[in-house]
Amino acid sequence: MNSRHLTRIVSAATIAAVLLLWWTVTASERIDPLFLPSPAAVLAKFVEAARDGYADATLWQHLAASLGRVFAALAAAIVLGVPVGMAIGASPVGRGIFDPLVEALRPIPPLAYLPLVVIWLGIGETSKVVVIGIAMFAPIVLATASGVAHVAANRLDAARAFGASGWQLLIHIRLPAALPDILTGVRIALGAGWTTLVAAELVAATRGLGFMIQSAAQFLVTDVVIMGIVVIAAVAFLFEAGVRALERWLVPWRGKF
Amino acid sequence: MSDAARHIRLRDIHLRYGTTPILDGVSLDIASGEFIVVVGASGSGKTSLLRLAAGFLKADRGTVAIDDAPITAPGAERAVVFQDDALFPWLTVRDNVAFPLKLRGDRARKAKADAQLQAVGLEGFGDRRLWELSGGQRQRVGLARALITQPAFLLMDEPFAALDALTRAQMQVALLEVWSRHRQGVLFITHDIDEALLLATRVVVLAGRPAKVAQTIDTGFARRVLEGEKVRTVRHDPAFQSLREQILDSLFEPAANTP
Repeated sequence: MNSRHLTRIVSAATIAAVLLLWWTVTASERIDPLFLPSPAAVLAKFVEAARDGYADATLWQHLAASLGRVFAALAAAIVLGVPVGMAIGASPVGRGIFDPLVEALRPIPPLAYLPLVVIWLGIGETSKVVVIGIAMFAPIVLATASGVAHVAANRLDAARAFGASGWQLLIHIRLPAALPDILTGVRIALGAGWTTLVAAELVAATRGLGFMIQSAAQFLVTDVVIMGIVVIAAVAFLFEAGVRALERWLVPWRGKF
Repeated sequence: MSDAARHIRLRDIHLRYGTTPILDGVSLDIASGEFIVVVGASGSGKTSLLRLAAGFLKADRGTVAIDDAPITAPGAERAVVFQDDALFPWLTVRDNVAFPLKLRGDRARKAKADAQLQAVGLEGFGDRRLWELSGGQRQRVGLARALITQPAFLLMDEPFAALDALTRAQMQVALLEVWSRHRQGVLFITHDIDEALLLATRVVVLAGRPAKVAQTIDTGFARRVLEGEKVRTVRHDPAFQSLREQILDSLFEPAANTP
């Protein structure tokens, strides 16, 4: 058995053990279902929310709303973050301009700037996407900057020897060489995005997984809260797998050079 | 570009890294059709010499010129082949070879790249990815990429140092064959004395710290290999052996460096 198989088997066993523990604790009826509903109750809620909906929308509509926000924010973060990262990584002037701004923005928790974004942009869809996008921006910028700055010197020399201009170096050498780092940045950004989603859906949302969880929490519908959390975890896991597949397709040389 | 012989001339080069002097008054000429091999111990400054000729480095004192024009930057007439091939893994073999032409917007670059791959013995490898190739095949790709612009000069920085002995021997003969067809001026850096004697029309020995030219030896072993003589026979020639000893002496005897 190779180590990859072993890891998978152990992972599956760990998840099974957690589920078993959860089931055992709830089956003993020592804990009020208000605090911890049984796995069966959560599964039943999942089926019910998928079929009949919860809080005026089906689970799929909540999921679609959240996915739309995360994807829009990711697209914006890539479109803005990659060029900014390239400027930081490849140009002393670009670094001087953007590095302090990004470093100042990076450690601020999304909940801190959420009110400001709402004041500026209103309570509509834009402010939600912007809040998630800000959280995703820094990881993509930093990963791109690092990748662009740390291109093997001999590759740059080789391209220069063939007469590449500064722009040609950036587009033909630095950018493709940084692609593995950029995809790592995207993975980290997606993590930050899901983390921020629930906060962004705090304000005036009528749909979304984060909204669904908060709405359920206000009425102490614990099984919906847990179901929502499990759905977010599952979706985030699928995203991670998707980005890894994208990596294998886009940067097949990763780890080989 | 005319057919007249072209020259790279390095004159009285002095170079320091920080406060450490590396090169101390080194002069070197490379003309079209010449195969100049610079040998020296590790850290002797031989790679610096190549980087000066390539235009990656500037001398603290002395002149570096091509056909009497000072070299201030890399130029297309001087192609560089690096020790660790310096290829681009995000491109296919064909696109790696075509890269210099892509920079110029040459639309016929794919066909030219395929022709060049054939010339270095990699016909049919165009669609492969670099990690599917052996070290020797990757160096052939690097050579094809350097040759595709039909440069007047090839600057080769220990291109075969990372290869196993058998592959290196094959690559040496392959390089001589390529060179015999086009007769570029070659500046080839190595620490392998046998390699130097086998390939060069002239061997330049760098020795001392800072380095000076300790010896310059005109040789004709490459011609014999090209005429079909076995490399092994050439190496066992007493003349080859005695030059080998002579170079070893000048590399390791400090007396050889004193003016």
